[in-house]
Amino acid sequence: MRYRRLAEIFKNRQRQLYASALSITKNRESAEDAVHDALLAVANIKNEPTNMEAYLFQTVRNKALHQLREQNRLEPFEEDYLDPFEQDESMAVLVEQVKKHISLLNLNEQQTLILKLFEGLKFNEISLILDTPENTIASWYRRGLQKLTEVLNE
Amino acid sequence: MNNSDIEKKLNKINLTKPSNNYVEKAQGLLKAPSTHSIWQKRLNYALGLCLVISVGINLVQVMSQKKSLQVFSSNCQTNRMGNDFQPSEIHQIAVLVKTGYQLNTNFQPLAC
Repeated sequence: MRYRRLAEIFKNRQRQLYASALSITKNRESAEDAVHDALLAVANIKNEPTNMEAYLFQTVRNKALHQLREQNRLEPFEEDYLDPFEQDESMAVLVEQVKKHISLLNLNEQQTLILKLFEGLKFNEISLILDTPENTIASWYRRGLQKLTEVLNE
Repeated sequence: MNNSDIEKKLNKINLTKPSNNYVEKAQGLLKAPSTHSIWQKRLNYALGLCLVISVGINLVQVMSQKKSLQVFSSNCQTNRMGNDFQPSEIHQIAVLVKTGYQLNTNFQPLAC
C-alpha cells in the first residue's frame, strides 16, 4: 500500500522532487541519487508518516544535504545544474556569472531562486517543497533576487 | 539593469533535465513486493523453524545416549561373574540403558 502511495506521489511530483534536490547539490547525478535514496528510505520506515508527501520532500532535502556534505569532503561536485547556452554567448556568460555569484546567498534564498527562476515553479509549489509559508518564500525570493541583481550589476 | 530586467533574463535559463533512467530507476525501486514473495518468505521461515526443531530433538537424543553410556561405564566395570565385559555384552547393556532412559527419565542403571 505504501509503495503504491509513494509511486503515485512520485508520478505527480517527480519534477519537483528532482528540482528540489538539484537546487541543493547543484549536480544532476547526485540530485537523482538523493531522490532515489529518499524514496527507498521512506518506503522502508517503520511508522507511516501522516503527510507522506511532505515527509518525502523533507527526506529528499536531507539526503541532498548529506550528499553535498559527503562530496565536499572528497571533491566538490561539478556544478551542472544549469543548461548551458552554447549558441548564445551573452546568455552563456550570464549562466557562468549566476553559478559564480548565487553561492553568496544563503541556502533558502538560493533554493527559492533556483526553483522559481530556472524551474518555473510557483510560490505555492516551493512552499510545499521547503515546508515554509508562501509569504516567507516570497520574501526569500525578493531578497535573493535583489542581492543577485546587485552583484551582477557590479 | 533592475530586478525585473534581470528576472526576465534569468527566466530564460533552465535547470538541467534529469537523465533518462531517473524515472525508470525510481519506478523500479517502488515496485511493491508481490504477495507471492511474501508467502514464499513465510514458507521459508516455517521450513527453517522445522529444521531447527528437528536438529534440536536429534541433539537431545544423542546427548541422552551419551549420558546413559557414561553412567554405565562409570558404574559397571565387570559382569556378575567378575570378568570384564565383552564388546557384545557392552553393546547389549548400552541398548538396555538407552531404552531405560527412553522409557523413564529417572532410570538409574546401578544394578549391573
